[in-house]
Amino acid sequence: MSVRERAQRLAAVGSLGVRKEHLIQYGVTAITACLVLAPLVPVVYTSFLDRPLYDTGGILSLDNYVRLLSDAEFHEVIRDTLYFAFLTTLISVGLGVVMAVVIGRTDLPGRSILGEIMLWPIYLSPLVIAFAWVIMYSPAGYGTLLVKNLLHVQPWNLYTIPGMAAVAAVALMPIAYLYCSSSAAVADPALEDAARTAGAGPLRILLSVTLPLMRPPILYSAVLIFTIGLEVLSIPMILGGPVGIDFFSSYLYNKWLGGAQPDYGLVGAAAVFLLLIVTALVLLQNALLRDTSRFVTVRGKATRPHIFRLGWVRWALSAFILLYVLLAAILPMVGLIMQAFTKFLTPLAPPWRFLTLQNFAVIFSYPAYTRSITNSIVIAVIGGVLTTFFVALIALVAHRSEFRLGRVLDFLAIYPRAMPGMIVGIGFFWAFVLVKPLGPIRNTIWALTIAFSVRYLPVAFGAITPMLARLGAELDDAARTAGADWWTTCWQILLKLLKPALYSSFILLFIQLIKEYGAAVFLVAPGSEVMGLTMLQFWVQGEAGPVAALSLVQVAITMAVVYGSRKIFKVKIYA
Amino acid sequence: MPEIVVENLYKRFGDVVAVDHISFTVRDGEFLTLLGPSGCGKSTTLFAIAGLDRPDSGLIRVGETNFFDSASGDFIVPEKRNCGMVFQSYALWPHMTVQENLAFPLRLRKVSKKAREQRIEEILRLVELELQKDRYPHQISGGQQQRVALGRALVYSPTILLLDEPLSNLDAKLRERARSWLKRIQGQLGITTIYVTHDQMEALALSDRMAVMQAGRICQVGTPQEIYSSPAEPFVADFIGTSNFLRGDTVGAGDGGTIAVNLEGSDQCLRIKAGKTFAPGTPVLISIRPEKVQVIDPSSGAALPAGNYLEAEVVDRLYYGACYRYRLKVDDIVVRVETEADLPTGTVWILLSSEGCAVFEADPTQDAAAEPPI
Repeated sequence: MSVRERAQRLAAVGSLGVRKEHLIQYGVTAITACLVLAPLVPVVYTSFLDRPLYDTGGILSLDNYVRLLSDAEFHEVIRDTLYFAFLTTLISVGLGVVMAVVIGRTDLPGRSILGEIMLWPIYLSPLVIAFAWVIMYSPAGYGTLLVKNLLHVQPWNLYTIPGMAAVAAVALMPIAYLYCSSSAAVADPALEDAARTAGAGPLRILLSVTLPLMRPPILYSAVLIFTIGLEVLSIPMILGGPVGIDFFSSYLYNKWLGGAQPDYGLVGAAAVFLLLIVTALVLLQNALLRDTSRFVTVRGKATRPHIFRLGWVRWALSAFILLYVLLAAILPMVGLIMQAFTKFLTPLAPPWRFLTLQNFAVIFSYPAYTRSITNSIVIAVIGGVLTTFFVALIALVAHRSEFRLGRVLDFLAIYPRAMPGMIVGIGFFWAFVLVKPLGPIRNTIWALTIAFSVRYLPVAFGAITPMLARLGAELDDAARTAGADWWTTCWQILLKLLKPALYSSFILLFIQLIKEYGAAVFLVAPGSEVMGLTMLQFWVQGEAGPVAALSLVQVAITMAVVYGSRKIFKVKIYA
Repeated sequence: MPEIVVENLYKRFGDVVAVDHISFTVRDGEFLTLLGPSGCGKSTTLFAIAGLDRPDSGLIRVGETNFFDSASGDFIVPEKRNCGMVFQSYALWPHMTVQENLAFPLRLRKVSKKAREQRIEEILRLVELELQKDRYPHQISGGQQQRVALGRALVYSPTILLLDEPLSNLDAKLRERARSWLKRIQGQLGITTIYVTHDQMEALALSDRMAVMQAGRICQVGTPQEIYSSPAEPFVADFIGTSNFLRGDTVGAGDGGTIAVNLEGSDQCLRIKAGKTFAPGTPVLISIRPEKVQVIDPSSGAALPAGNYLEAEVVDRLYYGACYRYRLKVDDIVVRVETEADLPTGTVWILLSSEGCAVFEADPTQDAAAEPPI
């Protein structure tokens, strides 16, 4: 029988197949380990060195740490950073929970549209949001002056830590909203019914059952937002810069780029310090998530949560949310648009008198601007594609093979969550200096592509693994018994079934990569500029108009990709 | 078609021994069922034969080939074993049509396009799905999906066929149809088959022989008739069909292999042919099928036949159309009886014929005879 002969031939070829399988598995693990450790090792190493890495004869000592901890400026930085991160977390999580419950669980008018709008800031760079807020609400901002002329008092001061926290909270609130609303939407209504039959009214249920059950997403998003608060660079640079408030990230930035001679050792020590705090937070987050069975609210049965009826309050709440959206997102964006299309922006004269396309003309005539646009797009597209494929491989090796180091690989892939972008940047800076064969890519956009991609490995991993977990293991088993080796099974069955997750991973990465700049601070070179960093640098030089225009270009690209992908690939991002 | 030999197979997951040194042989062309409650190790055994689970020790041989041998360290990866397997969930690849699902194993074997199409057509005819070949799995019914899964397992002429509860997702009517259909196809192809199920009716109806498993070991291997009529262990008697269990202690041996048993929960003494000898005073467990218990209405004036009878009270009954199911009480012992006879309430005689009973030495740690449901 010919089929039998074929089977024998298949068996003969197969012995090579086993080796191929191991080659791929060990290869993927080795590359992942290199990518994740490449930035870590040099950062830690330099923190103990008494001179720059490239100088010979370095002596290991704790000197950098002693200097760092005795630096009064650093103490102030720590205090301010923690205060800022704490305040940001409080505001954004508080708002996020309220929005999630009100939009997800009540009969609020226009809730589906409001739910959509709530997510907008997630597509924007915190940098752009900070620009927009400064244009509108800074002491010399359009909105501030408008109010000041009306009331003849200074209404608020954005250049304070609470002001900065407000901006950060607007940018980060969608994270809390997203986690809480997905949990609120799938909660088992039987739990609330039980409280109801026990005699509890709607408000009582909300406070005693619904909210406590949301504890895991609340804690999880709180830790996540706190972490981002510790490492965000745009806000201290843009809002703190004018009044001399420094956070961790801007401290690193200034110590590296501010002086004539960068204090590498001090930066290394501060970076390790930040790394330790963030790692501890991520471990805390994992520990919080471990014991979550108490909060298991989703059972196999498909149900639909009840809608709380609010009565007349719903109109008031709806108005409140609209006001929030108007003040926090829409007005600042309007300010940004006005800034981009005018020569001067002042409340003393109507903006159409100064209408101009000059700012856009500037962008497209300066090579540094245009290059940063094309570079960002190239990095986002190529980094997005390569990272998606590589992370898909990682997920398959870690979760769908008998590979012994699967758990190690799993950990490596999510560890970059604990690596702030700036530290990835510093680390890769040293890695490219130290590893001579990597020299040629050092000052190119490929250095940035690698660093950005490493930073967002966990984003892709988080987009792919849940879907992989939903594909029953018997699909692999069926392919294996039918005669496919591990790699053929992955390629022909699993990757094809993962397609939707691969698309959303790519889109998520694209959104992140196009706005990333933190890791670029230390890696950028003439010719490899990216949008975010270009905007930051030109802003600091006072070029508000072109920066606003460039911000709009970035927003337009992101929106085009997000909505295009929804239409073309039917990708549900953040579903 | 080759035979399958499993020797001393052992597999543990952490502290749990899933398969505890089991051995059995499936003869050439035979349909063998592994039957047992969930967690008994039957699926682990099947997956070990397919190569999807690596056992800790033992031997698995198919024909002349060692699939697994812990002594020599042989382990053939699943894709090179050429087994056909049907999974409980069917595991049809959702992104491929029926035809593509069947073509996949053939493409892996580099079968030419023409031969492939011919073979697929042949198999689709066998599983009666010619009209559905361009549908996707989610577009066809559960019964059809099950047939695609079988077709996919057969299309590359596997050496052996492994079936993991393939009918458990079908509704009752369809399951019965699929059962006879499956039996017919297996007979037609004469392929050596191992079938895993927890459904005793399925096992009895389909198997040439069946192996009853419990807690990682095989309790008994035999034809369905052997297993049903002479269970080797109380567990087998209890798991296959329904059984009454009577506890007691032997008093002494009578003539011709009969023993006398003092029943627990009753002061009546039971004399019964045991087939084996027990020392006096041994605790024993007697099992008897409800349909094997003969009931005699004393008021009918019928002569009491020679044999071993006990006095019983009728507790209640349920009418099942073809028969009645009674619950009787022999003093404190509840006995279930299935008979066509319409009995009066009150006292009856029940006769436990020796060939309907199985006598086991009782394991004092186990309590097999709890209050039975009717």
